[in-house]
Amino acid sequence: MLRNGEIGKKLGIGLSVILTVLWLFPYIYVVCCSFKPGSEVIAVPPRFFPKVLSLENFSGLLERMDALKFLLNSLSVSLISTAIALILGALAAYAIQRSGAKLSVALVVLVLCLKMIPTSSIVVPIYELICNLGLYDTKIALIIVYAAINMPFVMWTMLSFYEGIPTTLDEAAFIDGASSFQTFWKVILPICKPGLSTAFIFTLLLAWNDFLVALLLTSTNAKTFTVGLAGFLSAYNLDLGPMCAGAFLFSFPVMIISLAAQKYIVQGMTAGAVKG
Amino acid sequence: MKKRMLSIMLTAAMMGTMATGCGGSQENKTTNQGNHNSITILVESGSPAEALANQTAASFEAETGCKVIIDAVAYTGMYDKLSTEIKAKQAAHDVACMDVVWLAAFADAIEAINDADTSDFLPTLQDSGTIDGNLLGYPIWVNTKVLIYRKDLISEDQVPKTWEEYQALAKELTIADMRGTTVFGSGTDAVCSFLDFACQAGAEGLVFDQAGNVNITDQAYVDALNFMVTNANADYTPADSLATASTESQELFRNGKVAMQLNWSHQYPAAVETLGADKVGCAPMIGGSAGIGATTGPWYECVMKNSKNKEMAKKYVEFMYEHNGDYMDLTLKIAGRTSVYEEAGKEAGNEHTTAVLATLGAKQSQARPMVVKWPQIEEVLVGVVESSLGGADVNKTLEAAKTEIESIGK
Amino acid sequence: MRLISRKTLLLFFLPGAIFMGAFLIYPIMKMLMDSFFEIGISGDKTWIGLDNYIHAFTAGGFLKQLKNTLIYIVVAVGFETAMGLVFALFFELDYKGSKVIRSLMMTPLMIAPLVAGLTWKLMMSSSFGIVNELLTRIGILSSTSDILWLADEKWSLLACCIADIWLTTPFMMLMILAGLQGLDSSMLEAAKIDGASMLQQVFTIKLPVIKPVLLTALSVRIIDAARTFDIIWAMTEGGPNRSSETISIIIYKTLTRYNDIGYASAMAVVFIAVLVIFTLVFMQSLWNPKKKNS
Repeated sequence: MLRNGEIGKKLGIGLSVILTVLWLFPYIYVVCCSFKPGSEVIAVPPRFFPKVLSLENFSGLLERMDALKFLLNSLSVSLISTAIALILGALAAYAIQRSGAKLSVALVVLVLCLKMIPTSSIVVPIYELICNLGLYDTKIALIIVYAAINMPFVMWTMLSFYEGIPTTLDEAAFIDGASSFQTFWKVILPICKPGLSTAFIFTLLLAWNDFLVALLLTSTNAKTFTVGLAGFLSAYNLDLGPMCAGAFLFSFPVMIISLAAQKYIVQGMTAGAVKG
Repeated sequence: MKKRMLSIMLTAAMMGTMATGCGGSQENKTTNQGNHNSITILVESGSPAEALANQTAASFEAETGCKVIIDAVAYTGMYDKLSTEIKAKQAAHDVACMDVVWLAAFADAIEAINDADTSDFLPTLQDSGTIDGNLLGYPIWVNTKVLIYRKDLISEDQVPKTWEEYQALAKELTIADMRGTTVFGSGTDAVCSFLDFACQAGAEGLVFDQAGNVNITDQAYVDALNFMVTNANADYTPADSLATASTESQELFRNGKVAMQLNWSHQYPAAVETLGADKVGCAPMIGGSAGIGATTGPWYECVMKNSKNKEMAKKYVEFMYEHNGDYMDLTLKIAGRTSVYEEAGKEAGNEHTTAVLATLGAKQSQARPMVVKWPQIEEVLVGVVESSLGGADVNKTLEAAKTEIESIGK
Repeated sequence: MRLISRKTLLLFFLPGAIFMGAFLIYPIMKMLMDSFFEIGISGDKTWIGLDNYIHAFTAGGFLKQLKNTLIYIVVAVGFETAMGLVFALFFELDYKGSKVIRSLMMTPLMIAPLVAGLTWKLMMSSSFGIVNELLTRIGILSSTSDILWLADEKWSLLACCIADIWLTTPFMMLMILAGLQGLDSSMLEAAKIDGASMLQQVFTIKLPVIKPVLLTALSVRIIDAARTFDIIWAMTEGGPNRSSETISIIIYKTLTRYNDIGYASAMAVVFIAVLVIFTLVFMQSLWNPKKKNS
């Protein structure tokens, strides 16, 4: 019986390793293509590993578009919008969760519905609103729009975290004379660090990876990297080498973060789904 | 560990705020003022327009003191951007490079330049750029398809001039892993191909006839579509016509996998660069039952009505028109002025300009219809070509498309 | 004792509400208004009542896109769930380095959908795509142009599904793994002693435990699949011949390319309404028991 189990286990391990490698295949392919000379990327027939290692795609990337500027735009916009969404969302979610009012149930339902809105349907009205505010092609526009769009997600995540915190803490603080805000800021929030970290990472990724909103709201100043990347789909030359280099550059930090912050990501995804 | 993560994140957020904050306030000042020291132009990313705009920006600034901000967007995003901008009555771009097929939709938002000197415009360019009597922009370049072929495999007297010659030669040249020619079956390039052949088969007016009725069920179109289907199904073209457009065909040609292609003229210099001048030749478009014909693909540089800097924008488009000849120094070598082409044609390596002039001059060469709903109509036509190449009945497909286009309207 | 007064509730909610109101609620309200008009490119409005909605549900409306969206959801979510389940069972095993392997498997989740779309577009190209090259070498295809993933109407939607499945199967796997963590090992031991086979163990013990997690994950994924835009836009833009066009895409195209704001708004309103109703119904069954407990 034990032998059977051992073989089964070894088989399982082997399979999972093979599966992982296979699954990462597309990504590895892109990385390989980034380091191939431009002509090899679109060579017929295609090869997997580069015959020659070359960095010309990266230089091509920097030449064709202001890659560094776009990367910085993506970074700063994501960070700030996430900070805003986090603070305001956590605050709002706290109020909803702790209040027993019937109103709060309605608000929860509202937040849930807001989470479900497809971005492609609302971008154009958002575009018009931003233009009317005179904020077209500014980073500020992206920041406030991302903060708004991602807030329901933050609220949803924090709501389930707050549920795990006993109200006795709030009551104790209240007795000590703290106001609601002080209770929130000094007592509850520090305990919620895991929840906040999770929400932070996810919201950051949502803003970093966004394409459509940035496409419509930016032109030259505030263009983000995703929009720049999409610009490689051109009819004049098959610039796929630099595109792969760009894709690699763009997803690499994300991969690193995901490996390092695995715990928080798992927490975030399972929040609200698994009890306890 | 958790505390550290949180503090790292907060610090990062703060740094990010400071970085943007400093940059942001400055940005806002310049964009909100709509100052007279810069104009923004929209170009297609990867196109010669982008390259030339980048090259000439410095000299324009030296001449006028006005900075040129270049916004390069992929073709498919340009139309969307322009239309959203215009709808919202925004002045994001002062000058925009436009494909001729968009002029009808945006006519109301473009500032007319009726005082321009059109004497040097290449044939058909003035007509294509005029709507309701208003000239909407300076032509940047005009492009048609020409025959690009392997000079080392095809002698001058073998160069095909008719459909039959073309098919026969393609069959002959299919040896080993090389095919005779390609068929464009994907996207808007396929539609242009289809319309090229329709011109050659005798179409009077593309998609709409002189009276404004949809004419795609006419014999010319049926013949054109059948021609494409026959070629696509034959041995002398690669099997994946449905995925072939201009760039794919060019790649095949440059890799020595096809002997001929009917491709946009700007692919000729690029092919010469890869394969060498002794291997690549070019000739005017082939002719069908009605002779040589092709549809033109001009681009215009237009001043937008919403621009806050129209004076400077007008200066810019004139400046670029002056520099039209510079396009011949770039890789793609196409331009919009007759004088430029005539000059260039005298040089070796620019044979495509003569081929283009010959094709443009042909009686059956026509422009695509200038209608507001072109993007929708074009999608229907893409469907026509793709379905037919996929095996659908040609006549039925054209009938269905005709009804659809009629319901779309103009 | 009420922890937070109503006034405080509203106060805390207000800043967030301003943001969300401006960029989430206002657009929906505007679209609701616009859907009853026919709006031209210069902005002139004409009242046409329910015409846009009627148009949407008739031929020439968005029925084809609706069908495509449903196919997309069923295929993508179906495969993701099935594969996620199988993978979770494999990855459940604990061994040295299992955490690393699991983390590696998780990484596609973090890639931008746009990047995933571009990657698969490159791989599925018929002339230099590595997918067809490999399939031909293995022998499944006789030549690299047998299947034109992105250019053939038959395959384009499936191609987009494949990219989506690649991107999100790790998510399903993760959810199911998390659900399995809550499994009481004593039950599993008891079953083993009773002589239950692997399959029996899976079906009778493991599956019921993960049911709530699975349902939540399913509902989230179904809605996300319905909303997909970036992947399809990068790979096919809805072509060829609208074969991979889903509701998200047609709404965007109608708004920006065809400039038919009224009609697009109507489609968007219907789409959002369906998603919201679906969410409410699905969540009702999961939320209610929770609420009762607290």
